[in-house]
Amino acid sequence: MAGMTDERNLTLLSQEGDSFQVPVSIARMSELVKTMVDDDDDADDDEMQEVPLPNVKSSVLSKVIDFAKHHAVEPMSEIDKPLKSANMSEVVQTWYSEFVDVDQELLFELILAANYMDIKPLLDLTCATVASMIKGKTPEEIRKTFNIVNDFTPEEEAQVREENKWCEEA
Amino acid sequence: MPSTPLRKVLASQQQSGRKLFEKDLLDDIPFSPGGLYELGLDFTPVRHNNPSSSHLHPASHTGASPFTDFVNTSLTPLNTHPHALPPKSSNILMSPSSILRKPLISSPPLSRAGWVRVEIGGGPANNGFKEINKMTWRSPPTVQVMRNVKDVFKEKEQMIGEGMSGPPVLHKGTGMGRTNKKKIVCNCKKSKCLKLYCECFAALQECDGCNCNECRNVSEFREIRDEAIRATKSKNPNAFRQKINSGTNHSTGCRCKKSFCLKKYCECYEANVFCGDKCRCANCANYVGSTRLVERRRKIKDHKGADMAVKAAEEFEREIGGFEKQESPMGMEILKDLGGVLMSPRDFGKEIACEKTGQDEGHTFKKNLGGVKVELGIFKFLNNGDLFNAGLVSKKFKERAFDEELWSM
Repeated sequence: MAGMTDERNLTLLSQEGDSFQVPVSIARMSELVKTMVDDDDDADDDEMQEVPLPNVKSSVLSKVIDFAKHHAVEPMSEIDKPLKSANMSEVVQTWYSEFVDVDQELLFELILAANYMDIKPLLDLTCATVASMIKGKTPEEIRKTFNIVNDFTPEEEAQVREENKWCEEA
Repeated sequence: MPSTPLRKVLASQQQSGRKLFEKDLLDDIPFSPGGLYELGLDFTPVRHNNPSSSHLHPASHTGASPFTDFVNTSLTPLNTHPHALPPKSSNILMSPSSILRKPLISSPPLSRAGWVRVEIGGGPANNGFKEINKMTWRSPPTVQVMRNVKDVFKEKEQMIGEGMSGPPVLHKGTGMGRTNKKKIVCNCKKSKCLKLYCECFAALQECDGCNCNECRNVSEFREIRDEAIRATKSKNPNAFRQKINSGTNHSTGCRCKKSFCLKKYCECYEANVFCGDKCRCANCANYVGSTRLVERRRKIKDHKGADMAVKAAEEFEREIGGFEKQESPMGMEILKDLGGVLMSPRDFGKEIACEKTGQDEGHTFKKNLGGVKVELGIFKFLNNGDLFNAGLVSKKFKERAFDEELWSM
C-alpha cells in the first residue's frame, strides 16, 4: 500500500473551499492528514481522497504546501536551541529563512496552521522565527514588535526583576 | 503624626522580614486578598498621613506586590505554628501579633490605628485587635465575633477562606519551602547538601540533625550556600518552587518509565495526585479511575489515598455521565492520552473566533497561539537572558517565559 500511495494525489480543501492537489507523500508530512489518510485506507483506492482543512485559509495552505514540497527536496536542518542568532538566515538554510520572511499576520497564521496540521518542522521554523524577533531585544522593544501593552504596574515589574535576577545574571 | 517609637516598631518589623504590615488596608477592606491577615496590623493611617515615612518601608520600594508579601511573609508564621496554639485559648495572639501587642497598647498612634478597625468591629481597641486575630485563625470564637462584624467581613472571610486553601496562596506560601511543618532529614553522601538531591536544600532549609556528609547547607557556610542557591536558580528559576500545584497536579509532571507511577519514585504518586497532561510517563496506572492505583494504595495501607482515588473516579464518572461511558479504566486512559490531540483542533476553532471578534487588539500574542504548547515552542528557542527580558513584557509573557515546563525542557 505504501508504495502505491506515493504516486497518488489527494485533495486538500481550504477554509474557502479551494482545492489543492498534493501528492500523498507530501501531504503526509502533516500528521493530521496522515492520520486521516491512514484511517481512510479501507475506502475506494481509485477515488481521490479529499481532506477538508476548515481552519486553514487558502493563502496559508498554499504556503504550507510550498514548505512541504521543498522539505521533500531539501529537508530543513534542525534549529539550535537556544537560537544562536537573531538572523534566521544564520540559523537555517536560505530557502527556509526566505520562506518565513513574511509579515507577522501570515507568520502567525502559519504557526496556527502548522500546529493544527501537526507539521513539526514548520512549527519549529515559524516558532523559531518569532523567537528570533524576541531575541536580543529589550522588553520595550519586544512590546513594540508585537504591539503588546505592558500590563504590569511598576511595582509588579520591579518584582519580576527582583524575583528573576538570577536568570539575568546567568 | 506617628511617634518615633512606632516607627521603630515598624522598622523592626521590616527587619524581621514581615514586610506586609505596612500594607494599605483601609482603602480596600473588603477586597484585598490578604486583607484579614493584615487587619490586626494595620498601619495605614501612619502611611497615609505621613507619606514621608514611607522610607521606613523598604517593601514599598522593592515593589513587591501586596499579595506576594502576604504570602511569603505573613502566612509563614501563621502556618508554621498552628499546632502550638491552644485551641480555645483566650489569648490567641501569635507570632506577628504578639510582637506587636505591646507597642499596640503602649503607643497611642498605633492604638489609634487599631481603633479604626475596631470601629468597624464595634469594640474597644484591644478587643478588636484580639478578635481580629481570632478571626484569622477561624477558630470557633470567630463565629461569635463575626456576628458583630459579619456584614463588613463576610466577603472578606470568604476570600481568606479561599485563600487559605486556594491555589495561589498554598502554592506560593509553600513555594519556598518555608512552611514545611514536617522536619526534613536528609542522608546526603556526596551532594554536600548543596544540590537539589538534598531534600533540605530543595526546601531551602538548613540541615539540622541530618545524617549527611560534609554538609555545607548550614549557616557557617552561608556564602557557599548562597552561591549554590543562586547557581541552581540560574539554571531553573522554579527550582525551589513547590512541584505540586494546590494539591491537584504536578507542575512539570513525572517521567516514570517502569514504576507504573505506582511507587514513590513517581512524584505524582508520592504527592497523592493523579498524573496529568504534563506527565510523560509510560504505562501509567496513576490516573482517575485506575483500579490498580486503588489496589496499590490499599496494599500499602494508604487508605486515605485509596479513598481519594475512589472518590475522584466516582466524581469523574458522574461528570462525564453517560456521554463517554467507556469501559473504564482502559477507556479513561485513552481519554487522557487523547486529551491533547483532541483539544487542539477545537481550540483552534476558538482561536479563529477570537480573531474575528477582537480585531482591534491586533493579532499575535494577544490571541492564544494554538495554546500554551505553541507559545512555549517559541520561548524554547530563547536563552536565559532573552527569557528574562521577555518575562518583563507583560503578564502573559511572564507566565510563559518562566513556565516550569519550559525550564525543565
